[in-house]
This record gives sequence, structure tokens and C-alpha cells, in this order.
Amino acid sequence: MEGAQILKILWQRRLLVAVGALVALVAALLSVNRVELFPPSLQSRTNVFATASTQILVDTRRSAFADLSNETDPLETRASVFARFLTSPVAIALIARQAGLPFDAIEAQGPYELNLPPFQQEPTAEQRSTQIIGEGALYRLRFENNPELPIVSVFAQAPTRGAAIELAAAAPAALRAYVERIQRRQHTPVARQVEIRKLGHATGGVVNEGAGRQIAVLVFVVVFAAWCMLLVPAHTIAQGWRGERAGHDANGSSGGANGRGGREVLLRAGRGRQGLG
Amino acid sequence: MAAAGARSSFVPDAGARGWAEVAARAGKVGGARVEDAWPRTRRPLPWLFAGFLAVIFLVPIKAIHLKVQLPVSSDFDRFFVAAIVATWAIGGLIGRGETVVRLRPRGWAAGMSAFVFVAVASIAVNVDRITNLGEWDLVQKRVALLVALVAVFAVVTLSLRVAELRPFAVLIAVLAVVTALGTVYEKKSGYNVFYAGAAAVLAPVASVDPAPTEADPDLNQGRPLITGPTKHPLSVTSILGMALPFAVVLAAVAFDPRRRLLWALAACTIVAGALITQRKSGLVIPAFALLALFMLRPRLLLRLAPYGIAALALAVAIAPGAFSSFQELGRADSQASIEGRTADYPAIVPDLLSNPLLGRGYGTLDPSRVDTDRIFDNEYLGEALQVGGLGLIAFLALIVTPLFVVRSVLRSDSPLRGPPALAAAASCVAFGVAAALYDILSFPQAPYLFLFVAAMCTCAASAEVSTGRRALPVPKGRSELVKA
Repeated sequence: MEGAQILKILWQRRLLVAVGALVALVAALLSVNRVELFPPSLQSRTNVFATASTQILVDTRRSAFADLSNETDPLETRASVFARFLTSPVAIALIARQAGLPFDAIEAQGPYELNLPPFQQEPTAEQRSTQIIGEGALYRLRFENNPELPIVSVFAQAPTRGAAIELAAAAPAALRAYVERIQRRQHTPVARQVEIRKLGHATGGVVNEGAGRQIAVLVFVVVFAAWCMLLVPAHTIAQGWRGERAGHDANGSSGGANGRGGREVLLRAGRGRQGLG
Repeated sequence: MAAAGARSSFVPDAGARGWAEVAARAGKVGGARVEDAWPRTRRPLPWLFAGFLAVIFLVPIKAIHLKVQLPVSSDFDRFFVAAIVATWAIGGLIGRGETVVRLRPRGWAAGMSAFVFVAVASIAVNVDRITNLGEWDLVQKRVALLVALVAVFAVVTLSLRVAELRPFAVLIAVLAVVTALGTVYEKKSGYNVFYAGAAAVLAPVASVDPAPTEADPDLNQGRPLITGPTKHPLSVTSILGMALPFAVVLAAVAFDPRRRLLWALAACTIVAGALITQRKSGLVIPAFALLALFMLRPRLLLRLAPYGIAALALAVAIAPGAFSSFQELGRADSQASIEGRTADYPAIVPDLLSNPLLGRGYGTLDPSRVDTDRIFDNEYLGEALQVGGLGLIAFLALIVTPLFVVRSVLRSDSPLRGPPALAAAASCVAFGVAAALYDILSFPQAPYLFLFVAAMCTCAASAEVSTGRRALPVPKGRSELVKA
């Protein structure tokens, strides 16, 4: 019954409901678009992102994996070091150059100690401050490394599928270029050289294609519902006010003959407050 | 006057002989709706509410994965909430029309509305960040849970009748006793009856995760994991702590010593169920619930003091192990838990300073992402991080609003309103305390129960005005409204 009463009130105030729908529509548009005043324009927010991934194998010139006599432990240690190196500013600059992106557009994280208990992995205030600065970056890299494997996993995120694949592919290329430069400078014998191999091409796709639409719908529904919710008590207050004035006019004194005003007039009329006040 | 007719059964009365007589007496003074009140009704909605309460107390909601998929979330509770909302909507559409208009106290929905609005605003403001960090899926799930919570609160508030408050209070206490007994059995046997029962009953339509129970872990593996029908010991402790005031109040207002003894035993069982989880919260939450009752109605609770002292002495004599929560305070892993909690405070500062008003977005806290997010053992900290200062205020308002709304009937003489209102208010306090001890909104049982008792608070403080000029007893201060 109360639902019907609320609908009745909203129908009586249909013009205000229409205004509410308009306000909700504007709010929904603003949630997925950015307004530029000079010059006036509406720019779509980046609500969609794509990811891509690839893997880097740390190997020797004559692959250590084809020969059972070779120990892979030194390669595992190096993979762990390279995974950390790839998040450093030097490596990010190399990746940015390789991918043709500005240095400060890329944020890199990882690798994380997966075997530690959660409370030891949780970020401290200092770590979190650094993370917050990088949260706005549209191009994101995350490196993971299992300490028992000479492999670094690369996960890239970018606004488009192509950009994500390009960013993921840039990481092994940048690492290879860096390692080869050191080897040349140090004249490392070929037999002792580390080889950076990419395990297949980077693959990826768009992750959240419909997010913008869903966000807009959510904002519209909540703003419109809030507007309607406010209309119901506003209607009751307005009626009470009118009732009080009517009582005042009729009796020549404030609040009517019994001194209790509009609420009582409402109750006598069998109406009263209808729920959302 | 209607209120005068409902002379006190809140204070035990030798002349009265049980609920039926109270109802009959209330009926005599004009409470014509009593005869159609749950459980003596064919209306489906109260039965669904009762079923929902049973689900909260007996079913491992988060462990059930239904084979039917909904667009956003296929959690077991969502189907139940959808059924409640659908029944309410259909009832509204085809109903013959109520003869009673409920006058709810001002601002009953203020806390909930403010929280929902701030939550959505925080998402809208942070939409770039949320999508960029891939948090939208998580946000969607949390918003779906919030919508379910809002739906339960709204439908229960709009549909519950004053005459149904006491039966539902009894149901909550009885269900809590069953949960407590199951939890005690789980500790003693290592067998979780709730998970096993759900797996057996729901096998054709759902899969159920294995119970996380670890009744007697090795010393180096930390504390036992006694979860009852929930995913975490703190969650079962919370619902038991929130249900405790109902058993205590029912004991305090019982008509005869036998009934009082039974309810006192029920209260002891609930406390035992909370303590057996071996968490400090098992002690803290029930203690604050009792403290709240004592502060609201000290004389009423003092009446139960002899029972309390006797129960305490008996427990110490028979099962000293029941108070293992005390011993927990000194354990090394317990100390680590305290250190973990205190470490949350400095760690949250960068996020608070970067988004002080609306936070980083409702639902963006993901405990599984240990590299960026902390597991906050405090819902208030979690809310401050996700929905900022405004959201924290709204969350506090959500908890405080039922207390504010119900204050006028806490001391009501009406047997229909006073005792359930008192118990519901203390239950809300228990929820507020529990929220300071763990991330309470991550586990659905306690929030659902809180919103149900919040709805009970609103209902208790509402006046029911018959459009046919018949009226139920109303609290003091409101009776003049219906006199006309």
C-alpha cells in the first residue's frame, strides 16, 4: 500500500520528477565524461582498459634447458634480480623508449613475495604513498617471478589492446638491450653470457568494455531515487504547512483550535506521514 | 486512549500467563492487527522474513555457489532478497489495501540514504581510478551487496508490524541458541553441521565450499578456526553477540520463573557459543551488548543478576575452558593480531590524505590484493579509506540512526514495543562495537542482521493508525496523534 502511496505522490509531482530525471541524467553523463570549459566540450573518461601478458625466460646462449648437465639455479637468481630491476626508473625509461611512450605515463610494480604471510606483504604507509602517486598512470606494468623458476611474467595494462600488447612486448626487448649493453661493455665471453628470451608473443584483450555504461546507469538510478525520496517528505511538509495555514485562517490562532497544527489535520484526513520522512 | 490500555506486561506480571494473553490484552485495547500477526498469519512476507533470519543464523551464505547465474551476483542471499522484494512488490500491486497507516519517526532512513548516496558519489568521483586499477568488478559486487542490504532494510521496515516484533525477537534468540549449540559442537567434534547440512540439502542446486573449521590446530598454526555458519569466527561471534540482548530481555520480562530460567539458559548458551570461538571479540561483543542493555534499562537487567552470578559460578566450576578468550589475550599470535591492528592506523594515512572527503571509492578495498590493500581489522578504517570522511560519518549515522529513532520507546510500558525495542537497540550497539573489531561488511550475516534489527527499531517507534479508526497501542508521546 505504501508503495502505491509513494507512486501517487510522485505522480502528483510529476513535473518535479521529470526535473529529477534530468538532474540524474546530467549526473550520469558527468560520471563517464569530463567537462572542459575552455573550449566548452565533453570528453569521454577512460573507463575501458586492456591487458596483455608475456613471459621472459632468463637463459644462456646455448640454452641451459636443452642440456641436463646445466644448473638452472644461477638463472633463477638472475630472473629474480631482473624482475626487481624492471620496476626501477632506469628500466621504465628503457621500456618507455621502446614502446614510444612518455616515461611518466608508465607505472611498474612487483614482484611480490608470494610466500610470506599476508600481514608481512601488506604495504606500509611509505609503500602506499608511492603506489598512490602511480595509480593515475594509464600504462601499467606488473612483474611476477617465482623464485624457483628463471622466468619473469609481464602483465601490461593500457587504454587499448594494441597499446597493451606493445607495452608488454617492450619489457623483454628493453631488458635484452640493457643486458647486452652491459655484456658488450664488460666483454663478457659468449659462453658465460645471459640470454633474455621472450616466450612467445604478447597476447591481450579489452577487459571491461561495458563499465562506462554500467557506471552511468548506477549513478542515474541512485540520483533519481534520492531525488524521488526527497520529494515524498517535501510533499508531506508542504501539505502540513498548508494544513497549518488553513487551521490558522479558520481559527484565527496559530496551530488551530487544539494547538497541534498540520500533522493533526493530516491525521484527521486519514493521511499522515507516508513513510520516507 | 490506546496507549493507556496496553498496561505494562513489560514489567513481569503475576496475572499474565504468556504471550497469548499479552496479545489478547493488546487486542482488547484496540490492537485488531494482532490476530493477523506472524506467526499466526498467512501473509507470505513475514514467513519470508523468518526464513531469511534462519538463513542468516544457519546457512553458510558465502560458501554456497548456486548453479543458476544472475547478471551481477549469484550469491545465495541475493536470491532470497530478490524473493522478499518480489513478494513485497507483488503484494503491493495486488493487495486489497491495508487498513493501517504507519507513522514512522522522522529520519528513519536518513543514515541508510546518506550512506548509499555517499557510496555512489565516491564511485562516481573515482571512476577513472577504479577502472584504471581494474577494481570495477569488485565494486560491482559490493554495490550489489549494498543494494541487497538496502532492500532488506526497506522492505522489513515497510512491512513489519508492531505485533510481530516480539515473535521475531523470540525467533532471533532461538536461532542464536541453535547457532551457538552448533558452534560448541563444532569445537568439540571438529564437525561443522552448518556446512555439512547445507552441502547435503543444496546438493542438487548448489555447491558448498568445505568448512574452514580447524578445531585443534597445531600450536604453530595459530588459534582454532571455529566459524559456525559463517566464513570467519568473528562473524559468528558478531551475530551471537547481536542476538544476546534478545535472549536477555526475554528472560528479564518473562512471566514466570521457569520461563525466565529457560531464557537465561538460552542467553548463557549464546555467550558460550561466542566464547568458544577463542577470539577476544567473543568476549568483547557480548559484553558490550550487555553493557548497552544495562545502561538503557539498569533495573531491568539487575533483576537477572542472581541468574548471571549463578551461571558464571557454574561455568567456572564445570568448564573453565569456556573462558579461553581470557587466556587468548596473552598468546603470542594474539599479540601479533593486536600489533597488526595498530599498524593499520599509520598505513591508512596516505590514502586518507589523498582522498579525505569521499575516499577512493566504495567497494575498492580488496583484501586479496595484499600488495596494495591491507586487511583492516576495523570497518570504520575501511570505510574511511573507501568512502572518506563523509562516508565514515554516513556509516556512523547508519548505526546510530536506529538508536536515535527508537529512544522514545525504550522505556515504553507496551509489551509489544518496549522489550523488542530495547533488545534491538542493544543489538545495534553490539554491531557498532563489532564493526570496530573486523571488516564486518565483508561478511554478509552481521550486516543483514543489523539492518533487520534496525528495521525492528523503526517499527517499534512507529505509530499504527487505522484508517477505519482502529488503532494499536502507540508509545507515549505519540498517543495524542491518534486520539483525533
